[in-house]
Amino acid sequence: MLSKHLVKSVISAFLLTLLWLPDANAHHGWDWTEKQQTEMTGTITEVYIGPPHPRLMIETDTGRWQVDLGNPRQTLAAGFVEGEAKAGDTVLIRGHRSANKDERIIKAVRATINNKQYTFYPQLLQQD
Amino acid sequence: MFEALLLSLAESAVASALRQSVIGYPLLSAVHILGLALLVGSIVTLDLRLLNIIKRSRLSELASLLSRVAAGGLMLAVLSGLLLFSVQPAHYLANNAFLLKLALISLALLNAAVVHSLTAWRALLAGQPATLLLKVTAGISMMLWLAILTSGRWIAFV
Repeated sequence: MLSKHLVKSVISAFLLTLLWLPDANAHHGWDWTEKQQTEMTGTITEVYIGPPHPRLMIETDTGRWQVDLGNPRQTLAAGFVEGEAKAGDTVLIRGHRSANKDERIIKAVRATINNKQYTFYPQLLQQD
Repeated sequence: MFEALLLSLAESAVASALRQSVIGYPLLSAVHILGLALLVGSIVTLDLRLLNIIKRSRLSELASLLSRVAAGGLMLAVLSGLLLFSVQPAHYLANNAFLLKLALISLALLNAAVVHSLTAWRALLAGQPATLLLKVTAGISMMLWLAILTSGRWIAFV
């Protein structure tokens, strides 16, 4: 009886400690990105607007990058809808690069295409 | 050929509507999760009962009920999954976690088909105890469905 309670306690304690594990990243939050905001210019090769996550693929001097935009609602609110950009357009991204140097992903705070600005996270925009 | 058919799903009206709708995709995700809950919940319960780790309730009744609930959950999951997939087929076909999930689902369905064709399964439904073979397939089933759940969740993290 006692040992059964002990096993349950140990398992519960183990599960509870899992809560403190660092979170993994799939576009969510900013913990996985660099602290400083950077700008990057590239040529769009692919536009995806839709769930679960809108994104651009761009070709830059430093290779091919994936640009995570806001979530579908934020992307819509920024005015970035189907037809606003196409492959071949030049884009200026302002955002946070992945803190992992091997990962060419930048999470955009703002994108500028054809002189039009789309701000996905207005409250996070840092001006130089 | 088959791949071209899958890729062409992206151009369908329903895929286009899902991409533009604010509530369509989250609602469909919820249906997919409901399907998984019914499927994996009932399958794991049945597998644990077959393995005698769960001991209560008559096995013949549980087997007939839970395998039907699992089949219903599977239908919901497959239909909602196909629609979720249609939103960006090329993206998912290039995702290794997704491909692994599909391969594991094929194995799990094959396992289920084998079980249902066994005379031991019919005997079980008629009130006989689970044979060693049925216990082995229960163990395989549980491992496969949990692996499917895990690889499915991994799609967003590769």
